Amino acid sequence: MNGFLAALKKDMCLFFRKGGLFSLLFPLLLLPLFLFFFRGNSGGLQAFPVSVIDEDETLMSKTLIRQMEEVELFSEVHKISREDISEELEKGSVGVLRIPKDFFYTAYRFQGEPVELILNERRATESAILESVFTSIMKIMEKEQEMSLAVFHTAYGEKLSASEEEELYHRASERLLNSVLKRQLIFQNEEVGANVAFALVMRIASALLFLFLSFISLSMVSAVPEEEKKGIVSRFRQMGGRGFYLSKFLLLLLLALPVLALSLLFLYKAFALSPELLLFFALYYNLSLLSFYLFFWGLFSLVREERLAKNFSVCLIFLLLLFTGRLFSAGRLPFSLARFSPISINAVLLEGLRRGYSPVRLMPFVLPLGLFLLLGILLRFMHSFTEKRSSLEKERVPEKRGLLEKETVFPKRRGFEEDRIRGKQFLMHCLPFPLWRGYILLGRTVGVLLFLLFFLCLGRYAGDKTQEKIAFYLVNEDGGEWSRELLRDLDAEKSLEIRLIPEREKEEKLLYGDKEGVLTIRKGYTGDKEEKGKLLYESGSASLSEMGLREIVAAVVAGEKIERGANDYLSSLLGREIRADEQDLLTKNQKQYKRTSPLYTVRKQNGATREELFSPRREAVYAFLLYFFLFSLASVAGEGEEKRVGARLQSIAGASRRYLIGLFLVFLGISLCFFFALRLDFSFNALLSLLSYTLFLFGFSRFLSVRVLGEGAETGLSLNLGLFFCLSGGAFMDFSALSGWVKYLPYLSPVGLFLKGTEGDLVAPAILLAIGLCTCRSSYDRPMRSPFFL
Amino acid sequence: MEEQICEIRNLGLHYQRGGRAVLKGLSLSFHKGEILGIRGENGAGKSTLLKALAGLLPYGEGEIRFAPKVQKELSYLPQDLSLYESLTAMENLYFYGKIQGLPKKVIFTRATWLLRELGLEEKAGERLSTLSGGMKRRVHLASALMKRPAILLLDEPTVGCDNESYERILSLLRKMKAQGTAMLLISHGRGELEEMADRIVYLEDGKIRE
Repeated sequence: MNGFLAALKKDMCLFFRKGGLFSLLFPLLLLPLFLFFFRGNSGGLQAFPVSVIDEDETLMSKTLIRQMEEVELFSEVHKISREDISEELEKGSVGVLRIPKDFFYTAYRFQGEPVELILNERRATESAILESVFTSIMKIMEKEQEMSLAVFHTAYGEKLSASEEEELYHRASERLLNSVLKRQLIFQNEEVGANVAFALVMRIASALLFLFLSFISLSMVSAVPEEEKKGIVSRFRQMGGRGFYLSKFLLLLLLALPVLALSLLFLYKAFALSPELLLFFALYYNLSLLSFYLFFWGLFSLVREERLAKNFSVCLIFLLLLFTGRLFSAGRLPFSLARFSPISINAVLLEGLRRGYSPVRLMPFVLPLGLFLLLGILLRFMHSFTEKRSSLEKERVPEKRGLLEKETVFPKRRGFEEDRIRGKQFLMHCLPFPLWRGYILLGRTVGVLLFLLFFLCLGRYAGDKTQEKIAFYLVNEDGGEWSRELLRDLDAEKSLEIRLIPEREKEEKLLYGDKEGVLTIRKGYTGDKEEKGKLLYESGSASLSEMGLREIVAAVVAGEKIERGANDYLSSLLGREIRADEQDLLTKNQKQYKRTSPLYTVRKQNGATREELFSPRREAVYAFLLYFFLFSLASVAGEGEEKRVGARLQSIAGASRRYLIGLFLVFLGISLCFFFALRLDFSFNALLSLLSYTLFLFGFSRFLSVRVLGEGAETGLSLNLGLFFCLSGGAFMDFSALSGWVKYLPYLSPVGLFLKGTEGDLVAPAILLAIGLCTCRSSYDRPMRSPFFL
Repeated sequence: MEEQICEIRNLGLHYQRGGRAVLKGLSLSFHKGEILGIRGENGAGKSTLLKALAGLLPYGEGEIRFAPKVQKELSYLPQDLSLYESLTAMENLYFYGKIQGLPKKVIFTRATWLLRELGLEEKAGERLSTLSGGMKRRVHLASALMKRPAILLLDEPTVGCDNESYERILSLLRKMKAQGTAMLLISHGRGELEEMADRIVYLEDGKIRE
């Protein structure tokens, strides 16, 4: 028992010395900060200003502007002239709608200039929402125009008189307004509020939970290779000690308790969970800890080198963050694989708890966590196997040595040995010094291969440029002709990806949230001309495009409704029932009067074109990954061995300078590798930002490792600081979408400064360069007084 | 009389402002090719003197004067091993050679010669973590000799060495002396100062006692 307590005490000391304190502080510091950003109105998606250029100035255009002023999503509608477009966008207007002269009148002749929407790309999230609303309305208008022309030409023949054209314009305008304003009534729930803020909270919360649990477990086992190499474990056992590794896990549980208590309090306050569900969360939390502990224990034991194991773990954690899509965007892994990701499991569990599902229903979603547990056991088993094998080989050594001694008589054998040594020196001969240093720092051949694999994965992430579609599940409860028609039309929409599922699978799909949500066509949809509340759309746990999807569906449904109402429209125009020949003519005209010229155009101004909706820029992914990777690499500077070498180098003229420059070149090389792997745009601003950001990371991480922290302590701190910088720098979300002072927050973070630099801001990289140089200088020890010469 | 290459005058050093003086008005000089032994109790200031000479510690009082170009040809070997355990013996020497700006060809020739002299030729490709304590000490000394030094500051170079390592190290030091390298040698060891040093000084409470 004394031995166990001693091991517990030793582990506690090791944990805190190796940066565990920072891992512990991580949720305590970050979570409140994070919630502060998103609290109340300051974090939610705010109503935003838009501008209108009314060159038409007809009753129709004025009615449209009045309707726009009543839309809650628009805080202000500024009426401006064509010359003020750039100025308005600079001021923060999300979009400018230009209605050209005689637009509504000429549009019904398929003539004239199209209406134009100019979007402000600096406010990307709001722009995307505005675009989807605008496109939806324009599609309805297009359909209405086509239908009105077909109906009027059926009623009055090929040539319309002036009065008939006037009537067409008035009737169509009236119908258009009616269709546009009522387009959302098709949905069962009236609430159309964007779910962006909540979805982001869920994404980041699940990622934070994963990062905390994984990094605290990693901190706990990071001393294992050293302990095993130095024979501390076997000596402990020899002296009768028991539970060397159990003490580590118990300490892990103990140290993670405050965060568990905090999480339970949060869940209780936020979702009013029952004691049963809180207990379930506590069990899940501890199971996660056990899984990560076993996994990292197995990994560190097998790899046997702390630095290599740490680099590998950090790469693995980041690949999970990137590819399972809970932090940055929709997952790049097939869902069948992504569901095994701990981040996905966290998200599913949080969503399940929020929805109040019972533990029995949630249990199957937690089971994939067992994969980590099994992997850990497998790695540990492999470690035991290799240990046993090497000890058996050691026992055979006298025999083998005897053989070797005899064999050394033969020159062939000796030659082999010399070749082996020369082979090991081969890279020293061939590689320039900084590259050789990089090779060693990355963990030699195995490390470099892992590094290359990591870059291949990154390249895969960056290379996937397929147009992101809004994917959702569809449940067809109706099964009638109209619902089948809707399904066909939705399927034909380029921006949508639909998968039909039976109703029983709905809850599971909503919980996993691998697609945006579930659209249900309710019973009685077919034949209901009013179509009120006949569609139900439920967002998935990580949905960010609810509004966009609803607008697209609404436009499709409104279009179908217009088509279906053609007979009634013609009948009301003629004042009688329509005949069979008129019906045939109407069908013919419906096909004939199709618009060929565009009714509207959308153009983007004030920013780079985004490839994906609601996804951060690749520059943000770059900043995030590079921060953690280089920080992890720079932690070498804090190791005792490196500190001793560093101190000795100061006694050699010019050595410290060469050492620092060599190391910086390694950092720069890795930065460039990340740059190319993520396929960032090659421009002066991007390269200047890359250089300044790398210098900052180099100087800052060295400063922390050499001057501020003890050996290994920077791992935990870098996690905290890195996430804080990424969060406040806007790596995870577009701050331009938020209101108030929050949008200026990126200027306080190096990640934000880097991102600003890539956008063309020259002050931001200058600040990074200055901080980088200052921290480099302060981490570079020099005696205060040099000896004189004789 | 050999040429004087270093002179220390009234050297005074405090680790903290107003704190205890580690070196008090210490004066000393030594010549080309001379081995100066320094002996003293723990905490007498021997390592501090060497660090001050190596330019690693700022000193408050007095002065240290070197002959022209000698300061750039000074090599300091601390007591703690300042080598990378994960690198091989040859890689460690390559690192120290490169960091001193030597060309690759010179580095490999020099490192091979040093390893041969120290009896480690066979161990060149082995990681330091797999070598014995004495072997590590030998590699440590080799790392200080990658660029031929004018002055070699040695802080207990044979501590923890077995007989073979001890003999190899002393033999190499003798060769260096013969080539004109001056040495300042600190040791608590088995009479190596008596065996090697031309002159031995005693350091007591930060002052020299000849």
